[in-house]
Amino acid sequence: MSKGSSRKSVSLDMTAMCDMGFLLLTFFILTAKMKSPETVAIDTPSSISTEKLPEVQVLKITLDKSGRIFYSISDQATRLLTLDYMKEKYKVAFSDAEKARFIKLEMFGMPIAQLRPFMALSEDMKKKFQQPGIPVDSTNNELKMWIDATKRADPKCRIIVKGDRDAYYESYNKIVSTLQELNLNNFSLVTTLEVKP
Amino acid sequence: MAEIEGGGGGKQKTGKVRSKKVSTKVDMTPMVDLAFLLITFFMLTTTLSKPQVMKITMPYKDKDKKNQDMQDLKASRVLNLILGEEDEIYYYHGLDQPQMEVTDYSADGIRKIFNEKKKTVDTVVVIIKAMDKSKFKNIVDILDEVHITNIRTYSIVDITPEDLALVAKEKEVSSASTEK
Repeated sequence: MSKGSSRKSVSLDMTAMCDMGFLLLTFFILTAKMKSPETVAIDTPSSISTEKLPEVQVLKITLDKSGRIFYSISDQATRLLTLDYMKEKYKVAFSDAEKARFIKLEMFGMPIAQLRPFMALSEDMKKKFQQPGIPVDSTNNELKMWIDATKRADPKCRIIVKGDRDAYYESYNKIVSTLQELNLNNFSLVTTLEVKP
Repeated sequence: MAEIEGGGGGKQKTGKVRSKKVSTKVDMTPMVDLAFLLITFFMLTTTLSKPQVMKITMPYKDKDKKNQDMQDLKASRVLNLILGEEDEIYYYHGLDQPQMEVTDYSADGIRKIFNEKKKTVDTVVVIIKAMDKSKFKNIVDILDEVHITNIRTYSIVDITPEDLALVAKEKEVSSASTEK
């Protein structure tokens, strides 16, 4: 503010700031990937591993606190192929509309018999629905069938186990022995970063 | 950009038309407020930190082969760990006549034992057995400690009834000693 012109107002020129603000805004909008709505809250344990979680070609098995098992496939094409294999295996007739719905399904945890009625629910009802988890008993190991189907659909996909810190080893071991039965001995565990001592 | 001078109206020599002096400056403040509000929103909803993964390799599930491997091991190199139910670790050296001891997951606990074991033998073989009611985080923690101490050979195996009996005995002994 020069002393000579007393008429000039003291308002700051906001233009530059506004420009910068919108530039950043555009950047964040374009790079933003919304947090996918989580079916279950998982508190992962921490480790010193620094390897990043891959985003594509991932088969994720989620284990929650109470031992329920959820299943998710990252790629939509793989989802469709997996469902086709499962359809033949369990003789469940999925219509084309249901297949399209399944492709949109990020994560599920229920016996395959319950899958069709579940997909018919509205989004709100889906959130409220208490999913029982995928059965892994020795008599009815559907998880094994799902993994086998996904591996056939995409042999290169990586297996990732995301477990809750307080999940019992017992239920984790069920997943691991299922993987071992299928001779899939290499997999990864999801962790949060911890500082190396 | 925002300051559009009204056709140089403010600098007319005559100064007759006073009203033209009003500048056409637009107040940008609310716009900036809005922009930063949206930035904050997008920054918070963006998942900036991707989670990490820890690679793990399990042994082949072939019972005959496993027993063979076990026999090939030199007993002195083996360190057995049993992950207990309440964040405790039972451990013993060698393969038979075990002398059970208890420790925990802290830096002074299991890491110290790993480091001491590493000093006595060249390649330590850690055998991890977890009890059914131990937590998932215990497994991750112990694998972490193995990685921190640079132990290359380790395996996670099923717990045996003998080990369970040892843990039960150890618990009895410790509870008896606390009562005294």
